[in-house]
Amino acid sequence: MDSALPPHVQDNLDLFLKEAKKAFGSELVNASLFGSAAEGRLRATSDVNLILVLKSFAPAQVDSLREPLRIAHAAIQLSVMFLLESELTQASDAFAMKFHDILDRHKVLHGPDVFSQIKISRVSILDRLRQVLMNLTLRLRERYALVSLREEHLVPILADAVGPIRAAAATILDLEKGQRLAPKDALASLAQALPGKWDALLADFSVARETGELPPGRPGPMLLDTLSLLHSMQEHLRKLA
Amino acid sequence: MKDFFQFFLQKPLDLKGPDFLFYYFCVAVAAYVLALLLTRAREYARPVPKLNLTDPYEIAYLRDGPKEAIRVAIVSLVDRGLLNPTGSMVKIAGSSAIEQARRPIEKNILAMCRSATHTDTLLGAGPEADVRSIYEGLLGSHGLVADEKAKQLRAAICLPVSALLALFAGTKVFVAVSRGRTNVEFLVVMAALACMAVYKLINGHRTMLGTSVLADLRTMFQGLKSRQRNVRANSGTNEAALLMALYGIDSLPKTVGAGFTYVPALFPAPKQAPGSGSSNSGCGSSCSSCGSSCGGGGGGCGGCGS
Repeated sequence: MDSALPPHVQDNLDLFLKEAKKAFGSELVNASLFGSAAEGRLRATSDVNLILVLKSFAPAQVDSLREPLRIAHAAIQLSVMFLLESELTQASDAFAMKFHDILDRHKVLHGPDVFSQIKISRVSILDRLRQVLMNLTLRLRERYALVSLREEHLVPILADAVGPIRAAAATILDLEKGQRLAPKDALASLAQALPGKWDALLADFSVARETGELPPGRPGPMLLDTLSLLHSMQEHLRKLA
Repeated sequence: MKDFFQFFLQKPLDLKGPDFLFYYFCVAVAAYVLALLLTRAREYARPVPKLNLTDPYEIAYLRDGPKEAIRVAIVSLVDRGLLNPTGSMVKIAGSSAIEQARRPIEKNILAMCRSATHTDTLLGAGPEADVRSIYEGLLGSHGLVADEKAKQLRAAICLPVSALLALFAGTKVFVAVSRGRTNVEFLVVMAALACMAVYKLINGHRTMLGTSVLADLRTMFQGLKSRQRNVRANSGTNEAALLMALYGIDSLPKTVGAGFTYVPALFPAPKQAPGSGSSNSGCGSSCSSCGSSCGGGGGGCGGCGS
C-alpha cells in the first residue's frame, strides 16, 4: 500500500503528533491514521482521520492540545478520535461498521498496533449497517421537510451524508464478496448491482463534496434520489442478512 | 551582446534621448536589484523563527499590518456571535462577550462596541496604535516586520542608491537644459518612478524574512486554501479566521450558504470623491497626452544629447 501523504499534510500531521506526544506522554498508547489518509488516497476535501488511544482523558493534558488541534483541523481537516484503551472493545461493538473499516485501513504512527486484537462479528456489523442506513434515512427526510425550501442549505447536508453512504457500501461489499474497495469505488460498484440508475447521483455526490455547490434546482431532487438509494441499499442488506 | 556592452561603455551624458532613457532604465533596474539583494542579505541574516501559529491576528498583521488584523478580528468576532453586524456598524452581542474573548485585540474591539460602532472607527488611528503595540514588538523582534530599526537599515542601503539615481538624472537634465533642450519630461518621470520604487522598498511592511515566513505558512495551509469554498460561518473552528489571516477577507466564500454575506457591507469600498471619475478619465487623457508627447518627447529627448 502506497501511503505517502502530500508534504503539507505530512508536515502538519508530524507537528500535531509531536504536540500529542508532548501533551500525553506515557498516557498515549497508540496513534493511528485510518480512512483514506491511511491509504495515501487523500483528496483535496478529505478529512485526515486519526485515533489517539489513551490510558486516560486528563483535562490538563487535553487542554494543551486544543490549539494545535484547531490549527491542524484548519490546515488539513484533521479529525481526532480520543479513545481510551479500556474502551476499545466497547467502541468496536458499538461502532462495528466504523471499526471494521479501521481494522481494514489503518496505519500505526505511534505505539503498538492495538487494533490487531479486535474481532468484530458479522452480526454486529450488519446491525450497525442497518442502524446507519436507517439513521441517515430518517435524518435526510427530516432535513428535506425542514430545509429544502432553502435549497442552498441542503448542499452541506448532502455532502456530509456522502461519507457514511460510501462507507456503508464498502462494508456491504466486504461482507458480501470479501471485496475491499475504497469507499467511493465501493459505492460505484454496489450501485451497479442495485435496481435503478445512480450514475448522475454519484457524480453529484462528488461535486457536492468537492465544491460545496450544486446547480440551482438540483439539491432537492438529489436529496430525494439519495433517499431512494438508501432504500435500495437497505433492501440489498436485507437479502444479505 | 557585444554591441550591448559597447553601448554601456559610451559616455552616458552624450547619449541621445531615447538611448539615454534606455541607459538610465537599465542603470535604475540594476541599482534597484542591488539594493534589494543587499537588503535581503541583511534581513535574512538570522534564523527563521517559529511563529506562534495559534493567533490568526498575528498572521494577518504580518501579512498586511494593523488594519488587516483589525478587519480579521471584527469578522472573526461576528462569526463567533460576539459582535452583531448591521450594515457597516457592529455592536457587542452581550455583556459577557468581553469575558468570552481571549485575545487582547478582541477585547479592545469589543470594548469599543458597547454601542453601535462604524467599522471605520474601529480601523482608526487609536485602535491601530493599540494593535501595533500588541504585535509590532513581537514580530519586529523576530525580524519579520520592518520596525524603525529595520527601516533605518534599509534606508542606509537604499537612500544612497536613490540619491545617485536622482543625481544622475539631474545631471542629464542640467546638460540638456544647458544645450537649450526642454523635453526632459520622460527622464524626470522615470527618475521619479525609480525613487518611488526605492522608497517603497524602504517602507515595505514586511521584511524579506517575514515574506519568507508568510510563504511557509501559506504552504502549510495550502489545504485550507484549496477548500476555501467549503469554509462555513459559525463552524466553531478557526478555519475562517486563518483563511482571512493568510489570504485576506476577500478569500471568504461568497455563496449564501457559506454565511459570510454580511462581510462586504462591513467594509464597503471607499466612495469615489465627486469628479474622481472624470479625474480617472483625466488620467486617461493625460496618458494619451503622454502618448502624444511621446513622439515629440522622443524627438525632444533626442535633442538632449545633441
